[in-house]
Parts: sequence; C-alpha cells; structure tokens
Amino acid sequence: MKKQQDYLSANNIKYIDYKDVELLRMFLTPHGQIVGHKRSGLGQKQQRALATAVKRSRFMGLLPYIAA
Amino acid sequence: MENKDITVDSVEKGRGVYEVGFHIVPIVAEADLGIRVTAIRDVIEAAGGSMISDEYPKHMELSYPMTKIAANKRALHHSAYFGWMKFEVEASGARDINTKLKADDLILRYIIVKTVRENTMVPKKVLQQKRGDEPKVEEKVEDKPVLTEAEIDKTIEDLVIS
Repeated sequence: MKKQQDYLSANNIKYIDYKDVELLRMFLTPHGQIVGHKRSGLGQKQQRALATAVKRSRFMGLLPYIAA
Repeated sequence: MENKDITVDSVEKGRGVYEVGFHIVPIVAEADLGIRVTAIRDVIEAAGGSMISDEYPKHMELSYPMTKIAANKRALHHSAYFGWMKFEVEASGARDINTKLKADDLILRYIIVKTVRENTMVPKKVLQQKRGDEPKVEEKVEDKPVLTEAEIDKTIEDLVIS
C-alpha cells in the first residue's frame, strides 16, 4: 500500500515562509490555533517549521494570535 | 588538551542569507515610502550586505493593533506598510542591522530571519488546487449504436414473441 504524502511534500514545498499567509492558514483552526500533526499530516521536522513560521507571522501581525 | 582555534569571530565569518521583514508606520505618506526603503537598504549595505531580492512596502491592515513608542509617546497603530528585503551578510553584520533598525522610530516592527536564497513563496496555483478544486474528470459518453426505426421494431417484436 502506497504511503500517503503530506501536502508540503506533494507540492515540493521545502521552506515554509512566514509571509505566506495563505499556505499557513491551511494549517490553522478557525480560531487561529495551529492544528496538530495528526490533522496536518506533517512530519516532526515540518511540523516544527510550520510552528515557527506561524509564530513569526503572528509576531508580524500577518496572522492573529486569537481569531474571533 | 588540544587548544582548538575556534573562536566566536571565526564562526561568525561565514556569510548567511537573511531576510528582514518590516512594518513602516502608517503616518508616513505613500510618496515618502521610497525614502524609508532607501534608508533600510543603506543600513543593510553599510553592514556589508548584498541584496538578493525585495518587495516594496504595501499598505495592510494588521491582525491586531500594535503600539510603538517614539519620542516618549505611545502610539497605537491598526495598519502599516509591510515590505521585506532578502540579502547576504556576515553574522556580525546582521547584528548591526538589528541594532540600527531597532533605533528607527518610523519602523513599527521588524523581524530578521535566516532564510534560503531561492524564492520561498508558494505559487497561488498550487494553493488553489488544495481547496477541493480538483480537476474534474470528464465522464466518457459511450457511443451507442444508432438503430433505425425498422431495427427497433424488430427488436421489440423479438422481445414480445420471446
């Protein structure tokens, strides 16, 4: 059985940019929380990179800390 | 024990690719943005940085209000001009840039990150595919044999008889 690929590998995304809000929003809940690895389907390294990118984006006001 | 010649300076000598993202306060007139961008570029070049790519600041609404203390006054901002610059510089140069940007009263907020030389923004086309806009598979319409009236009558008769 073929292993299912995660979204980043499937689209050959090697670096998660904090400015790429559209990409980051895919991995956020409607409240702005980062989804867990089970829902994101990412590996450990990618999940950590995602968390860093989201936190940078929040610091720069591109993403909310808490969405209403 | 062997004394290795690894010092802080020798480690820092390697040039790295950095990116600075910044928000310029909205009180700056749009016509004067060019001056602010040139000022930031000068800071980078003065620290020995060589530019790789950049994006001119664009006005945007912030996700949450930010405060900036300038000239002993606290000001709350709901929007800003966001731009970024990617450059190559030594680690010590990056530290100088950080110090100088911190002192700039017209920069609401900034971030310096280590990045890669290649373009890191994902093209929009890739993102659109994710949202269930999968290419529709066209259903194949099989060519049914066209029967003439006589043939149809005949087949009906056969069915009725049997």
